[in-house]
Order: sequence, then structure tokens, then C-alpha cells
Amino acid sequence: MPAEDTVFNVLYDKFMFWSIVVGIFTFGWMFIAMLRYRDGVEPVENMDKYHIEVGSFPVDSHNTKLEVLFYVLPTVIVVWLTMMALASNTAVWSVDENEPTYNIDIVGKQWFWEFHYTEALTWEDPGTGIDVDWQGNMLMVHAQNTTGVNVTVAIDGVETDYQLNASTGMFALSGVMFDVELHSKVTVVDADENLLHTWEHLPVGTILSSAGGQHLILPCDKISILSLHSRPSDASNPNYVGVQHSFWLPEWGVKEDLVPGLEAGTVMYAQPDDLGTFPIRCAEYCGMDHSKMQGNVDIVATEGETCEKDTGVKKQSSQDGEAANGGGY
Amino acid sequence: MRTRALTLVALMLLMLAAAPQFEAMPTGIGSAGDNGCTCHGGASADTSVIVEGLPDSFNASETYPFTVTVVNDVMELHNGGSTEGADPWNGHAGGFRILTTSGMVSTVNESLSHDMDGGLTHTADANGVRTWDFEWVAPGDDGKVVEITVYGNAVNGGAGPGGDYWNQADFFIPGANAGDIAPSARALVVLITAIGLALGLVLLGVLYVFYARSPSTFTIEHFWSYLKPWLTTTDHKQVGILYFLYGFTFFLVGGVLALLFRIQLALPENTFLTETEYNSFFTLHGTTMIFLAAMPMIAGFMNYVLPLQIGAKDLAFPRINAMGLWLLVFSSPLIYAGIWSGEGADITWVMYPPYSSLTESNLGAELAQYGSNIGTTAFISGILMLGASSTLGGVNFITTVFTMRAPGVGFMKMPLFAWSVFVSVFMLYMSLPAFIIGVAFLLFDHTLGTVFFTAGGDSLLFQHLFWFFGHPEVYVVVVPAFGIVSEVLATSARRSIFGYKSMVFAMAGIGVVGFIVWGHHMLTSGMDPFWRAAFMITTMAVAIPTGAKVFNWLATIWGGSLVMRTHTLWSLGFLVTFTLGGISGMFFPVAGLDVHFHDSYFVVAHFHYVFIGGTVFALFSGVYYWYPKATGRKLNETLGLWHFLIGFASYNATFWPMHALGIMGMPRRTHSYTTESGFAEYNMAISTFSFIFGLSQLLLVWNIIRSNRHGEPAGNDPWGGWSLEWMTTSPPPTPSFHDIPTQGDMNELYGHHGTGQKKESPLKKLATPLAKGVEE
Repeated sequence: MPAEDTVFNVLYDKFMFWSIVVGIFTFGWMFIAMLRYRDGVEPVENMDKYHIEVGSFPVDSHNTKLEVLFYVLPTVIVVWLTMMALASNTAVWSVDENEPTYNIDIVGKQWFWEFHYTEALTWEDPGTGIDVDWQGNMLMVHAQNTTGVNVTVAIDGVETDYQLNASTGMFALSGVMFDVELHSKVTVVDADENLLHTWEHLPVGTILSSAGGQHLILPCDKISILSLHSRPSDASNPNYVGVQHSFWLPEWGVKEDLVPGLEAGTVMYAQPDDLGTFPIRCAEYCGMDHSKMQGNVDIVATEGETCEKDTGVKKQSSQDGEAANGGGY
Repeated sequence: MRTRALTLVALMLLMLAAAPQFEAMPTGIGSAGDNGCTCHGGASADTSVIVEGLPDSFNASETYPFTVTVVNDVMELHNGGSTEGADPWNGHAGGFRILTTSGMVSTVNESLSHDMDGGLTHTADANGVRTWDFEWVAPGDDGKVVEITVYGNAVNGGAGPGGDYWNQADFFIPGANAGDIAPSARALVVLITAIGLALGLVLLGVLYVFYARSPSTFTIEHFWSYLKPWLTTTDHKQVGILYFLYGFTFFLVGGVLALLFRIQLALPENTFLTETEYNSFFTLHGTTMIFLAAMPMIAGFMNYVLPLQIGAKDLAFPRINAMGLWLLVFSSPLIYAGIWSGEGADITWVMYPPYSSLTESNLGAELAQYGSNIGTTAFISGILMLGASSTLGGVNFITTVFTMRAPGVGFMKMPLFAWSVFVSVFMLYMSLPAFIIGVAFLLFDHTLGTVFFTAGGDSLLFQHLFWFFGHPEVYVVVVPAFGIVSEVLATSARRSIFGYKSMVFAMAGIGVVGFIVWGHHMLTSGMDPFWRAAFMITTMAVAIPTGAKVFNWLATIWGGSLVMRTHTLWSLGFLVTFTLGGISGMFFPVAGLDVHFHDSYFVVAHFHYVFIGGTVFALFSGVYYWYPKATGRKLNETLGLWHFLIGFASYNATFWPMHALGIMGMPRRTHSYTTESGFAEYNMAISTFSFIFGLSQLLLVWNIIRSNRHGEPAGNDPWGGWSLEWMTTSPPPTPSFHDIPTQGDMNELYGHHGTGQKKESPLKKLATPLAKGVEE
């Protein structure tokens, strides 16, 4: 079930409500009719007024006002639902210009996802009591009053392990410049190798791939604008331009197809506002390993953020909804 | 005549002679070959690839030296082998590429080769000669069979690939403990063979039954003369019965396929079926259920009932009708053919390119895993044949309704089933051209290497063409169901249908609106937001006529006196499930909901609710309703009641939880799911109930077989219906009416407020002269 603060969830609740209203009306009528007007239960007056005889069109059973009403009733409910539904169109496929956004390219191949970073992302776990800080050519890790023991610094794929100062809980490494061009990652673990804290910088041009088990990393509290492209797994054959996929984030109830050969790509939006790891699935059949074309997305806080704000779409969309709804139900 | 026959034979011989030529190109027709093995020039039998030194079987981890020699005595070197002149010979003579499924292949001289795309390819240093030395290090596991493919290229030394020729050599080398190389029997092959055998056994059974009737006078000629009328019939009743039996058989076959993949899905991370098998199973399940089960069963009812209802002796074109049937019958072997190659079609019933157009021949052997299975070619051809069959049927029914109505059967005096057939075939006939063009182009892409829908073409165009047909298609199968339910409910409630005209307008309305809603299948395909909104509105609008129909049915029951026969129960069941399916249908056009529901199990739940709960339930209702007309005997009511109770309950238990799975995020067409996903419990329940639902259909099978002999005899009009089919005997004679009947109109005698007499509706004006024309 998608999270509560999504367009999907808000709309689903509304539609469910009206479905139940329609259902109670229709099924109520239906079951009463079925049970009451059985042969031998209710004596029926004037049974032969329709003159049902083989070979003759029987006397019409009709009531023009009622028949018109039977068209008007569904029309009313359909117009009402359409109004609610149309309001959601803008919520799903457009971005408020004032909202902060984060752009990323998603590439689907048979049968894995690649995440191409077109914007740098620097993130750090909030609320762990540990802080990673670059000062000039000095890397500082403040881990006072935590159980942290070891620090691993990985810069451009080169990993080095260090120990925290046992008494101060601090660690300083000099001579390393922070380079925005390099993929850098600092992790702090405790004595049992449990991960306590991560700081990571993903430069522009980083490519992560679900084939290697890597997760898509997206910042919270920003509208993620995902540009979707389908590409071939092997570019050696010009006839092979990739196949249809569909990038589905069930947590936010959004998906969009990846169309091979469409240079501009397709686009979709997600607005994560809670930390965590959520599934990615391929929804459009894409060949043999379609069911294995899965991945995960990590929602993280950009450096210095806490991710506690409630920026999910619910607020905005329920305001819209209430405007259309006359105060909700 | 003789010249024509000779020309035909000559043409066929020419085709036969040409076919192996096409096949001889390992990478198919067209230029794709250059990329198949990174060999260049053309594939040619003049080039031979000689490999010496590979063992017959290997020992684990042993190293085997071998030599590859490329020989081509026919080709000429570029520029005569001379390095002089403006366009000199560059000294290049040959090249190689070696793929192996296991172990390591390398050249003895390392500078001659490098790895490329998972295989070994020569470097420029290796170009000068046509023979090279290699080493193959066998894998550590000697329990398997290794496949080695060696491509050898004879190069003429000119710039560019012109004049170069290549060929390949394949080797299957079993390990010392691998046992014999035997073709492995796959589950699907076994299953379909079993079904084929079962059909053969049925034929034998028919033969035996016929023999047992009078063993003394039996000869095979007698049996033939008993069978021949069925195989060569053009009578609409017999064709209708054949249509229905054919459709019902495939309903069971498609059901068995579904049960097999429900076993696969019952447990998380299950490996009961391989992915290729699973993908073929659901593809064949979907195609079978729609094209080979639902459509033929409906066509059966149309054939049998429509001419009777409008008082016609037969259809307008009886032979075309029979041809439609046999085109359909012979398309099914094509659709299933791929299974015997080990890989049935796996392109889903919607057949989206580029996946469906990618094949081993246009991708090359290395990339073949990214393309569709071998069976796809025959599958698409079979679909094309289905299109031809449906077009013929469409022409036939439209003509019949226009020209062959008996006197008194005006357009607005036709029974609602006849109306529903008319609307349905009209939609079919209008929408099929788009589909046939799409499928024909897809077949060209698939076999000839055209690019209508793949590289350079537009894959979305196929989706538009498909759904322009595909959405009307779902109404094509559901509108006749409306007709059946209207007949059954009115007859069972012992009244005339409430709001006859409004029902006709609703069906016609669905027929029109059905053509402008196809985009809702593509809301997530990157469609422009304006069109998303437009399709949302049109789709929502379908609910208006549909809702009106449901209300009219309810008003028909209201105040009536329902006789609870089995056909009544199935129609009431239809009302319940179809309404549920209709309500869940309201969720899809909404952009904000569709982006989550699209291609999820919620969709699967929805269309099973409208296809089974809508079409199939109505068809069951129709079977119980018209069986006495076709055989003269009623179906057993007790068996029918159990069929309904078990079927209806297990059906809902099977498909209702799929809604929940879709909301939770389970995509459709998925071979397996992880334990952590939390889908396991629902899937287990679905699989369990699906078996009960499947088995309950055997009650109907048994009922149909048994009641044919032992059923209670039915008169001309067992249920008290009014339309013309109840006037004739059960079963009706051939041709269906000795004298064309005249339908009366009780409104003229007893109509209380003179409907239709004060104001002549335009439709009535249109209908009256036609009816008179028939009379003359």
C-alpha cells in the first residue's frame, strides 16, 4: 500500500468512499429485488399484462421518467468523480515551481536499472549523534558519546579503514581534499561492525546499478524528477534499441513507462518525505527476467537536513480535494 | 483450370526451393548478420570452418589445445592480392570469434585475441592468416554440457566488409559425467502433447461410441459419413455448436495453463516453472482465453441463436461462416506451435514491440536472450489468421441482421440478444483493420527485419493500433453477454425487459464510446497530459450507459416473479460480479490512481471480474438457457446448482484478493516474488481457490455430456420465452424455418399508452421498409 501522504492514497480513499456509496445503493437494490421478487414469494399482480407469447414482441415495460433517471444518476456520479479525478492530473504530472526539485536519469535495461546522477548529492544520516565534516583538506568525524569504533573512508573506490580515538571519540584525517568530482563515502561502524552512520557524496555522472545490488539514493523533502530512458543491454546491434519497461515505485504509487527509441524519454515525479528503503519494480513485461528486474530506493537526508518535515503531497492535494469536495466527507 | 493448377504447383515448388535459402543464413534475412558474430560480409556456405583438437567429452579443468582453420577456395582476394595501385590489398585474410557457455578459450599467442561482449574476438594482429591455435580450459564441473560456437571469417583484404564471407561451427561437448546429450522434455511440451493426445483420444472415443452402436454394420466409411457432415457443414446451428465446443475446449486448456502458473505463484521464490515456461504460459493463457475461448464461445451463440431469433433460415453467407470457423480452428495449432520448439511465444497477449519483434535472427545468437522466444513467429501468424476469421464473421452477421430479419422483426422489435450481437460485430468489424495492420507490420518486423515498431520506428504506434482494437474488443466480448443476461432475466422474471429502447441505446452508446477510450491503457506511456485528461473523461463516460443497463435489469426484476433456474442464477451472479468489476473499473481512468494500478494485480483482478464474472458467467447462463433448444433436453438442474454455488464462491475467492495484491504493489506477469514482499499469503489463497474454480467447470462438462442422453425432454419453449427461436422445434430443423415466420407485436393489441404509434422514431422508420422488403 502506498504511503499515506501520496496523491494515490488521498484519491483512493475518495474513490473508495464513493464506490461504497454506489455499491450499497446498487447491491442493496439488487439483493432486495432478488430475494423479494422470487417466484412464489410475492404474489404478483397482473402477471399477464405483458402478454408474453411465443412469436410476438411483448408489451413494452417502460417508464420514460425512470429510464431518463437511470441515465442521469450515473451521469451525476461520473461527473462528480471526473471532477475529483481531473484535479489529480496536475498533482501527478506537474511540479510547483516553488518546490525544491532533484533531477535524476533512470535507465532501464534488460533486466536491471541504472541510476545516472545528473545532480550531485551529498547526504548524511541525521540523528545518529555522529557528524562527518570536511574542513579544507581535513576530514573530521565527531562521534563523541556513541559506540562508534571504526571509520571507513572510500574515495573514488579506494577504501581505507581507520580507528576513532577511543578516548575522545574523534577522528581527523588530514591531507585529503574534498573533491566534488569524486564519489566519496565515509561510514562509521561499532565494535560489532554494525553500521552507525553514513556520509556520502555522489558527484554528477555517478552511475549506480541495481544489477550490482546498488540502491537508488534520493533525497527527501524534494520533488524527485525522474527522467526515464530505455536502453539496450548491448549496444553492438543497431536493431536492438531496448524494450518497454515501466518504472514503478509502489511506495509513492507512481509509475511511468520507459519507451525505447524515445530520445526525450518520459518523466515522472515522486515526493519522498520519510527516510527508509523502498522497493522498485518493473511493471511492463520486458522479457525473460522481467520478474527479477527489481531494485531498492534509499531515501536519505541531504547533508545538514533532518528529514522531519512533512512535505508529502497530502497537504497540498487534500487542500485541493477539500476545495473540490466542499469540506471533505 | 489445369494451367491454374500447374501455376500453383510451380509457385509452391519455387517457395519450397527458396525457403532453405532464407534459412541458410544463420542470422536471417537482411543486414543484421554483420552484428550477429561481429563477422562481416555475408554468411556463406562457401566458407568452411574447420576445428581440430576439441575433445568428444572433457575432463574437469583440463586444457585442450585446438586449431581453427577457415577455408574458402572460391572467393578472390581484393585487387587480386596485389598491394600496388590506388586501392591496394591490405593483407587481411581472416578473423574469428568464439563463444563458449563454460570454461575459458584463449589464443596460444595472447596478442592475437581479446575478450569482447562475453566472447573471444581476434585483434588486428590475427588478421593476416586464416588459421590460429587456441586453448580451451574446460570448466571445473564435468557434469554439464558445454556449447562452443566458432565463427570463422574469410576476409578478402579490401576496405569495408564487401566480398568477405563467414560461417560458423557448433560443438556440444559433454563432461565426463554429463551422461548422454539428450533433448530435455519440458513441462509445457509434455502438457500440450498431453492435450493433443487427449483430443486424439476424444476422436477415438467418438469412433468407439459410433462403433458400439452397431458393431456388425460398422465400417470406417460409415464413421466418415457420420463425421463428414460435421466437418463440412455450413448450417449455422452445427457451425455454432462446433464454435462453442471449440471455444469451451480451449477454455479448459487455458484454464489448465492458468492452474499450472498458479502453482508456480503459490509460494514465494518458487521454481516450479522456469521463467521461459512461465512467460509462455501466461501469454498463451491470455491469448487463448480471449481469442480461442471467449470469442468462439460467443460466436457459437451468435451463430446458433441469432438467425433463429430474427426468423432467418440461415446466415447470409453460410460458407463464409464455415470458413471463419475453420480459419479459427487452424490458427490454434499455429499459436501453440512454438511449444514443440521448447519455447512457446512469450510476448504477452498485447504483443508489445520492440520485445515481440526481437528474435534470434535479427539480434544474433549472443543477444538472443534479449529477444522473444522462437514460438513467437508462428504465434503472430496465428493471430493474423484469427483476424481474418473475425472479419469474415463480422461481414456475415452485419449482412444477416440488415437483410434477413423476418416480417415483423423491425430493428426496434429485435430481441436484445440480436441487438447485442449486432452492436458487437459492428464494433469488431470496425476495429479489426487497425489490429490486422498492426499485427501484419509486427510480423514483418519480426521476420523480415523491417522497422515499423523497432529501431527508428515507433513502438508506441503499435500500442495505439492494438488498443484501438483491444478496447472495443473487450466490449465485443461483453456486449453479447449483456444480450444473454437481458434475455434470461426478462424470461425468468416473466416480464418484458424494462426500458427496451433505453437498453438498445445503451448498447449502441457503449459501441460508440468504446472507440474513443483506448488511451486509458496507455496513460503511463508518456502520453501528453491533455490526452490523459481527455481519455479519462471518455472512459468515465462508459459508466453512464453501463450503469443505465444495470439499473434497467434491476427494474426488470423488480416487481417480477423470478423463477430460480440455473440460468437465472448465473445471470444474477453476472449482475453481482459485473457490477463489482464495473466499480473497480472506475478507478483506472483516474490518472492519480492509474499510475499505481497500471500493470499491477489490481488490473488482473478487474479484467477477470469483467471477463469471467461478465462474459463467462453470462455464457454459462446462455448454455443452460439455450441447451434445450440445441439438444431437445434440459441440463440437469441439481448439477447446475452445484456448478453455480461452487463456481461462484470459488471464483470470488480467487479473484477478489488480487485487488489487494495490486494495491500492495505486485506487478502482473511476474514469474516469482520475494518472501519479504509479503505477497505470499494472498497468492497461496488465490492458487488454492483457483483449483476449486477450475475443477467446478468439470461439473458443467459432465452435465453437458450426460444431459444430451438423459436430460429431461424440453418442448419448443421450456422457459416461456417469446422470441422466434422458441417457436421452432428443439432442435430446430435445417434450414431453421420451413416457412419464414412473422413476428407479432402485442403493443399493437394491448399497448396501453400507444408507444411507437404517436411518434415514429427515426430508427423505426428506417426499420419498417426493410422488414417489408424481406416479406416480398
